This record gives sequence, structure tokens and C-alpha cells, in this order.
Amino acid sequence: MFGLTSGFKSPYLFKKRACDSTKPVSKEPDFSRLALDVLTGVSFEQAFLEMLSDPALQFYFRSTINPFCQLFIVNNQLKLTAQKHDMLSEELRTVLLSQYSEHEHDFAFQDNAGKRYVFYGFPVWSEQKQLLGNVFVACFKPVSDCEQFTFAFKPFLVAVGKILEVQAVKHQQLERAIENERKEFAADLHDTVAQVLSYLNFKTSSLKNLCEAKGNHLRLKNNIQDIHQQVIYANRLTRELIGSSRVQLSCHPISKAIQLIVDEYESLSGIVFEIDNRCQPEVDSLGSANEIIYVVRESITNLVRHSHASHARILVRKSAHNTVLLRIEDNGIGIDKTAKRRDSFGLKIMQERMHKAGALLEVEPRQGGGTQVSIFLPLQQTSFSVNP
Amino acid sequence: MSYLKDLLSSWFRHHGTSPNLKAIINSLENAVIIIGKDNTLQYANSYWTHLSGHLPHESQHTVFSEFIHPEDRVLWLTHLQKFYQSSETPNPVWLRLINDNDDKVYWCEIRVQRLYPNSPYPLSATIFDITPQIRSDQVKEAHYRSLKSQINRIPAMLYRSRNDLNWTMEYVSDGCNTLTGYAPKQMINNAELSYGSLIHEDDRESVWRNVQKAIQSDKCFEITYRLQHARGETIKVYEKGCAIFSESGSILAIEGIIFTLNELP
Repeated sequence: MFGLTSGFKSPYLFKKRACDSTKPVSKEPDFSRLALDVLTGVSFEQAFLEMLSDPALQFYFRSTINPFCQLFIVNNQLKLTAQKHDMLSEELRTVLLSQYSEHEHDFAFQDNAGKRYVFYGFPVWSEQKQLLGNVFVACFKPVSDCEQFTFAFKPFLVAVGKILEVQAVKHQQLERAIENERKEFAADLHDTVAQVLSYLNFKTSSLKNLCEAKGNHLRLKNNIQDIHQQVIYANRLTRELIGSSRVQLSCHPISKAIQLIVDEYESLSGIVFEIDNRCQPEVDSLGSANEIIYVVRESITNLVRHSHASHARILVRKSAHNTVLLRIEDNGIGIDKTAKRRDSFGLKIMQERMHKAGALLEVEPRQGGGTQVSIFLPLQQTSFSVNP
Repeated sequence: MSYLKDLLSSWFRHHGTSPNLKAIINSLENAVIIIGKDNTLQYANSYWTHLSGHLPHESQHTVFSEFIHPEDRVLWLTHLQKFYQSSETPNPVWLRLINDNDDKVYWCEIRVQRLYPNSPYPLSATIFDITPQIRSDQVKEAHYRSLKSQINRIPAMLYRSRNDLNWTMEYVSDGCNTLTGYAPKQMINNAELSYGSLIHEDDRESVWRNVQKAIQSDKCFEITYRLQHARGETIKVYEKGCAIFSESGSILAIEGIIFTLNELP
């Protein structure tokens, strides 16, 4: 493995020596700008490729290192980026990733076409001397002057180090954001459960007092009924928490998740399901995917359990006011609002979830019979002001 | 357009005079459209409104793909590409048209042909509404799927076998996996092993005798015997079944269900 020389000389002196002196010397590539790009949202891969397309850098490589080299970077999340993606065969990917954790980075590799490469690995360090990743250089023939080779790479490695460092910070920020969201979700749920339990506590006290008095049987009965409903509600919230945990494991886009839910329920019922998705790109770009998938699953569960339907359709299309309409409709018996169970909170929870996501949920009879659950999901910054 | 030609020929034969072509085309319960070089609609008959929700003159100069369901647009373009690349008349394409009026989708069979034999453009197309057929197929599929998954979830093995000493299985449900430890495909038509070979050696004769006795008296049989599980252990099973006869009285198959009785003493 090549170590970086401690005495750093300006690469531009080297470049002058190696290049044709009649050609103008290129301006120094602006690596710091690329690191900033990564910080402001440009992906690591994009920044890397952009860096390699920089004319100054290309000139630098061609003239100083080896005109027949390709570059690969392994960063600290073990993601691999290549100058030319078609070079990254599965076999090569496996070899490079396995070399990442090894001390010895120089090795030969023969691809499927029989072409041989010699790989040279360079560690990339942060300013705090933490290993951020490795740069691998694939050459068609071994390098004769290793010291010169290493020296020429120094500024490039420094730039890659900056990008990887920025990316590491971004990764940490993302991890924190996910953790905060989880905490917020748990806090909200705990808050609701705590409120229910406080209410139960109050009612239990009241019940206790009533039991001590005489001739209050009717009021006693009403209180017991109320407590019973609240206990069921708390139970439902707990089940919802379990369900949400399962949904959060899903990493599919919304369209794919809907398809998977439908596949699942198709095998569990005799209902004909039809997915009519007219705006897949828009629906897959929506935020609050977990909330949406939860509501779709809940609606389809209710449909299968209660609707007595033979057909169901999941319609996704653009709607007025810059929204996406997601509608789950069936041709079943419809909802009898007078027969609504007082201990049923499914709809309330769905509405709360959609309200939190800035969406509007409507449950109404379907024209021609059955029920339709319509969810109006805002695109961009549109949101609905609704009372939960 | 052979369909239209036949229709017109028939008209001429019966009436002997030139009919009002426009009236005939508008009376059809299929949509007839003409598509120009830039894939825009140049003409549509009255039935087009039923499918698309748009009046024919409103649809003129609109790109035809815009009426197609977004998920089927690639299919349409691929079909057109094949149409131009092949000298033969392509098979009709099935895709969905969106009706903006009632928010419904219509499944359609579209047949494309050249309007003029020597010119690639414009194209004429006949559009048949096949939604009822598709719906009917979907219902059949749903019934089949539902029944199949229901049978396969039953915690027992449903089967149809031949009446031979091997009990050659023509069909076994997924319960076979749990009951015997073998997959259905290993057992169907004795692909890898026969059900008969799994029956405990000492019970094979009594199983055969009891089943034949029930068949001869035209009754269902109920038997209990020991079975060799793939895990190597011997389990106790309960089987209830009956024979299926042809009208002439010959035995076509044995059908039944087998449960494990392992938990019983």
C-alpha cells in the first residue's frame, strides 16, 4: 500500500514538470465548492462525478498520473462510486468492498472481458485523522514510479476527504432527524394514551364515590359504559402503535406499497381489486408516506371486513387545488351511520393521521352504492385547515 | 377496416343505393377514430364520447395518448412502433381509456390499420369496449384465487387421488407440507414419492381394505392410520373421503381430507 508522503510539495510544480510547457497551466480545480454542494443537497455521487468532469482536473490527471486509469471511491457507509458506472460489475464491487477493511489495498483484478487491472488503494483521512474512506485507482498496467503516483494524488485525496467529511456530517444530521421524528411520534402517542388514562383515573374515582352512595344505579351504569369505551380506545391506540411499527418497516414508494397491500388482501378475500393510479410520480413524491400507507391499509381492512363488496377500486389522480386524490371505493352495503358503534375509533384515528399530514379525509356513500374514502393529499406546500 | 367494409357491402346488397356513410359510422357501438402523423385525433365517431367523455369535435387535434391511462401509454407507443415495423397486421392491443366525465376507465381493444394502403399516415382505428369481459374475467380470477388460498390455508391436506395401491395423487393442497413434510409437487403423480409409501407398513393393507369396502357399499370412509413424516417420526392421521364415480359407475378418483392426530394419545 502506498502511504502519503509527509513532505507535501505543490502539485502544480510537478504538473509543470510533467506537462508540455507550451500549454497553458489550468486553473486549480475548485474542490471546496463541491464540498459545499454536498452540504446543500447534491449527492455524493453527483459531486464526485462533477469533480471528475472538471476540465482542470481532467487535464491534471491526463498529464501527471496515468492516461489509462479509472477511479473508484468507497466511503464510510460502504457505498461505492465509480467514474464510469459500467465498470462496476458485481464481482468488482464485491472485491472492492472486501478490500475496504483490509490493510493491503494493492491487488490485481481481471474482469469478465478478460481485461486486467491493477488496483491501488489510497486511504482518505479527515482533519481529525479519522479514516473516511478509500480511493481505488484502476490502471491497465502497473505504475513504475510509485512515489510520483502518490504525490500526484495528494490534492485529489484532500478534496475527496472534504467531500466525505461533509457527507459524514450530513449522514449524522439525517440520523438525528429520523431519531427526532421517532421520538416525536412516540411522544404524541404517549400523550394521547396519557390523556385517556388520566380520564380513566378521574372516572374511576367518580365511580368509586358513586358506589358509596345509594340509588344512583343509572348514573353508575353510564359511567361504567364510558370507562369501557375509553379502555377500548386505549387498546386500539396500542394496536395502532404496533401496526405503525410494521408500516414503518416498509421502504417502498407509496404506489408500490399500495400494490403490495392489495396483493395481500386479494389473497385473503374474494373481492376484485382494481388499482387505477394515474399519477404515480406525484404520489410517490408525497411526504408522510407512512401516514398515507397506514390509512390505505386501514381503509382496505375495513372494506374487506365490513363492506360485503364484490369490487373495490383504489383511484389515484390529480385533483383541484394542487392536490392528489387517493380514493378507496367499493360497491358494498355502504355505511349505516345510525348503526355506528360508539366504541369504534378507526375513522377518528384515520382523520387525525391525515390532519397531521396536512391532508383531508372524507368518508361518504358512493354514487351507485357502497362507500368511498377520499383522501386529498397536498402537493408542495398546499395543506388543508380542518378540525380533527 | 374490414369490419366497416363488410358492413357497407351488406348495406349495398340490401338497399342498392349509397347510404349516408356518416350516419352508419355514428350508429356503431364501437368507436372509430382517425389518427394523424403527429398522433393527434383527426376524426372520431359518436361512440367516442361514450368512452372518453369528450365530444368528437372537442377531441380533434388532441394527442390520442392523452386519453389513454398513463400506465398504458408505453404499451400504446410500443404497439404503434411494432405496427410500423411489421408488414403484417398486428394483433389488437388491450388498454385503458380514461373517461373524464364519470372518472371511470374503460378497457378497450384497439385495432389499428392504415387508412390508405400506400401511405403510413393517417391511421384508422376501431375501439371496442371490452370492460364487461375484463370485469367478468376478474371476477372469475378473484373467485378462483379466493378458493385456492382458502383451501391452502386449511390446516389439513385436501386431495384427489387415483384408486391404486400407491394412492397416486392428482391434487394435494398446501396442507401437504405440514402433514407429511413434503411439498405437493413432490407427491403429485408420484413425482418423487407416493403417498402410499408414507403409510406405515403395518397399516397399508387395512387402509386399502377399508377404503375399498366403503367404495363398494357407496359410502364415505373414515379411517385412522400411521404416516411416516419427512422428519422421520411416525404420526397418527385421520382421513375422511369418498369415491367419485362416472355415470357408468366406474371409479374416477378418490377425494378426501386428512388431518393429523398427533396431539391425541
